[in-house]
Order: sequence, then structure tokens, then C-alpha cells
Amino acid sequence: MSGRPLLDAPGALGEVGPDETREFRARLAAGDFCLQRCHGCRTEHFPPGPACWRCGQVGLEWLPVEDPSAVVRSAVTIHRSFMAFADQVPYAVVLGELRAHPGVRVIARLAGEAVPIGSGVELVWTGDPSRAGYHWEPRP
Amino acid sequence: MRCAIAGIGASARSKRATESMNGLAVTAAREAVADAGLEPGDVDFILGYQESDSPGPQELATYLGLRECGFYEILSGGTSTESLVSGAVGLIASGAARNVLIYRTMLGRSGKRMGGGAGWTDESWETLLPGGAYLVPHGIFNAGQRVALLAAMHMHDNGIGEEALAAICETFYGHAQSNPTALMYGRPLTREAYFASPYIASPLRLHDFCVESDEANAILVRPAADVRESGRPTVLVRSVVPKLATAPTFHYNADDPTGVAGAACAARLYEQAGVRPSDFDVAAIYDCFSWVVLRQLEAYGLVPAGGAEEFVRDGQLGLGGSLPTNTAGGMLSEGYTHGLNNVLEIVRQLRADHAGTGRQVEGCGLGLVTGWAGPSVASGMVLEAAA
Repeated sequence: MSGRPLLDAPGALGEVGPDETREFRARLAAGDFCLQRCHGCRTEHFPPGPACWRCGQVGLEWLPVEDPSAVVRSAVTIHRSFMAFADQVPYAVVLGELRAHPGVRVIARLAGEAVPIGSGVELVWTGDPSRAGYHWEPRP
Repeated sequence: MRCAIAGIGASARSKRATESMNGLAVTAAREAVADAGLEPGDVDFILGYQESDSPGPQELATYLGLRECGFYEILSGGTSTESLVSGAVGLIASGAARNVLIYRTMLGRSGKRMGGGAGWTDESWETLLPGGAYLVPHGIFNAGQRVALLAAMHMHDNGIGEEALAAICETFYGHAQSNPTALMYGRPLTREAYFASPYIASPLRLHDFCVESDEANAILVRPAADVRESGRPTVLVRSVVPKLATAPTFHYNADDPTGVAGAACAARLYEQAGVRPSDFDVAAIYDCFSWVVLRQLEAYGLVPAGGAEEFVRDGQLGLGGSLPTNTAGGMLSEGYTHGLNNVLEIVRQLRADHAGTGRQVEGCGLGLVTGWAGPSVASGMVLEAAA
């Protein structure tokens, strides 16, 4: 996948979105793809938020992902789209569940063509200046 | 307080309206009021919904000639109708209103389209969607793209083939052939044409997406006793569940990511009404996408677990099937007002408005309406034809 920005809208990493998203993007820019973990029930969260959706506890700790490998739970190919994506079709998008973090699923573009559900992928943070900042790559 | 849907109304439907949105709304509202045997001046409260794409109830009140009128509106699409009917029941029960008009007007095809394009930006999508900052930059934003991810997962995990989606489309397009006001009237869909159509977001093809239309729809809710006294047909609201959210709102990370809020909604709906899913004679199932129908059949207990594909392939959603559904063609082929047009049709069925034609479901006494605003928000109504 090329390193060009997916969107040209204003707001580089760390400048757009609610506080948790700014923090997430700042950490991503520094090299860490982070989840959050609840101090109380230990539920791991993605995307980040202000409190635990399972038990309601406020304040979550940041948890860098050490193992980016994942299993494809869903995969689609987008054939028609809008905005900056209109001229990028067809493109594949994967919902992947991190192997080291059961229940934590991340949606991102897949580099290359769609892969079957159940196959292996790896989350790669691209370091590019887009607001996506990461994508999946196949790991058969 | 028992309430009933006393009147229904609709404007002309097209892909490019010649009237303004207020003009369409006035036509639909006046028709609903007249259908209830009332005058516009009898309306004392107006409820509306929109997605920042239409004028509001205050303007409609003005153009109905009302000097004073209560109103509110919600910013929402699917699940709005049931939520506003619930609101109407509460307003009537509290004494704040007597005759409540609920409406939606939109230039859904020639104006701001729901799927994207003019009027939408990446930032507006990010603001609108829960977790939008983690979807939009990855090229997943409109409803079809988000539903496709769920459909692919659900169909894979349950061994359901694309034939099931084709069957739903074919059935609803078939219904539209008896409805001259449907956008797809005169344009039946064959299995071959379905599979020859392009994917938009796999596994969803062109016909798995609902149509887009310019139109207004309205219903009038009154105390059931008033309707009975008027001598008009009474369609009782036997139970109603407004917007029900199941956590987490970023449902891809739910314990069961293929689960939907409809299951929790159905439990409340049936308990309040004292009915079982096998009691329904007719249904209005929210059909922004064919797969959404497939998924709700199981969630609302209308088919045995694992039985949805066989049910739709056997034509059970058709006229003559065990649960005739969206008999005007549904949003897949009639028109699209976030579910309100499907409510108009189920009211017609429960009043036997189509009696003597092949479109009428015979012996039609109890109807189910479902609403969908993504997998984690559902709503519903049980409607009953009262003697």
C-alpha cells in the first residue's frame, strides 16, 4: 500500500477528534498502537473512550499492542464509494480480531485484495501522515 | 391510555419532486388528517424526524394553518417512527395532546442522499458515527459499507449463501408490481438480473440497497376511544418499544459481533403486548438492506434459529407465505422514508384497504413493525386491527 494520505482533510495525526482520539493518535505517531484496559473489570477496549462500556468505571489505562497478529472475522470489498475514496475503488476492508487480545476487533484497509474470513493478517502502523495511520497486511 | 393510528397520508413519490419539502409534507399531512375524519385544525401536536436534511414541524404547523401547535423532532433515521409513536402515546396519556401528527419529508434522491455525496464530508461522517474516527479514514462510513462488514461475517459464520439475499429482493420487488406508486412498479427483478448486478460493497449488490425517493409520509395518532367513536377503522398500538440501544455502541466489539438489538427489543415488545411471534399475520420489517431483513427475522423470533435462509428462499415473506412482509414493496423497491412508508402499508393491510385485490392479506389481525438504526439500536410496534 502506498504511503499517500487516505484523506486530505485538515488534521494530521493528533489534531482531530475527541480527547481519547487525539491521545490515541499521538501514541500511534510515537510508534504505539494502543488499546485501553479497565482498572476494574479488566475489559480491553478499542476504540478508546472515557469509561468502560462493560462496568461503567471511569478512567482507563493505555495498553500498547505488542503482538499485531490477528484473525480475519470479516472482509469486504468496496466497489463504489465517496469523498477521497471514490477513486480508490475497489478496495478491501478487514475486521480483524487481535490474537493476543480476544474480543478486540479493529477495522482497517487491507493492503491488496480481499482475503478469506479466518485467514491471518497483521496490523501495520504505516507512519504516514494520514488520519488512518495503520492498515492490515496478509500473513498467510 | 390505548392509542390508535387513525389516519395515514402520502405525497406523490418520485426521484425528483416538483414540490418543496414543505409542500410534500402538507400534502401527506392533510391526507392523513382527512383519512382520520378530522380537519387540520384538530391537530394539536406534530412530531417529526430528519437527518439535518429537511424543514421541521414548526413550518408544517404554519402551512397547515395552525395558530398554536406543540411540536418536537428528533435527528434520526431508522427507528424514528416507533420512537415518535411512543412519544405520541405519552403526550396523549399526559394530556399534553389529543391528535398527534407524525411525519417525514425528504428529497432523498434529488437532495441530500443518505449514502453519501453532496452534503456529506469525512468530518460530518466522523461526527455522526460512533467510533467514526476509527472507520471513516479507512473507507468505511456509509450504512451499506458498515452493514456489508456485518453481513459478510454473519453469513459466513452461519453458512448462509447470497441466494438468501436474492430471494428477499425478488419477493419485495414482486410486491411492488401490485403497487403503482412504487418506484419499481413495472420493473420486476429476476434471480438472473439480481446476480448480474454489480457488487456495491460485497456481499451486497445493487438491489440489496434500498431505493431513494423524494416524498413525504404522515400518520395520525389519537386515543383509541376517539377513533372508535368516529366510526373509522381502528388500528390499535398494542405495544411499542422506542429506540433501544444495546452496548457497546461500537458493536464490532460486542461479545457477539453478529448480535443485534432487535432480540432485546422483541422480548420487550412481545411481553408488553402479550403475544408470540407466531401470532403475526403481516409484518413491516425495516429493509434498508436485504440482509437487515434476514438478520431481523431471527432476532425477532420469526423463524427458528438457523432457519432464516430456508424461510426466505421458500417465499414465506411473500403474499401467500406464512408472514407476508412489506407488501407494498418495502424500502427495497417502493420508496424510502426510514420506515414510515412500510408503516403506512401495514395499516392499510390491518384495515383491509386492499380487500378484493391480490394485495390484501386475508384475515389480517395482528401486525409487527420493526425499526433498525444499525445493529445496536432497534425499535418495534405491535399493531392490531380492532373491531
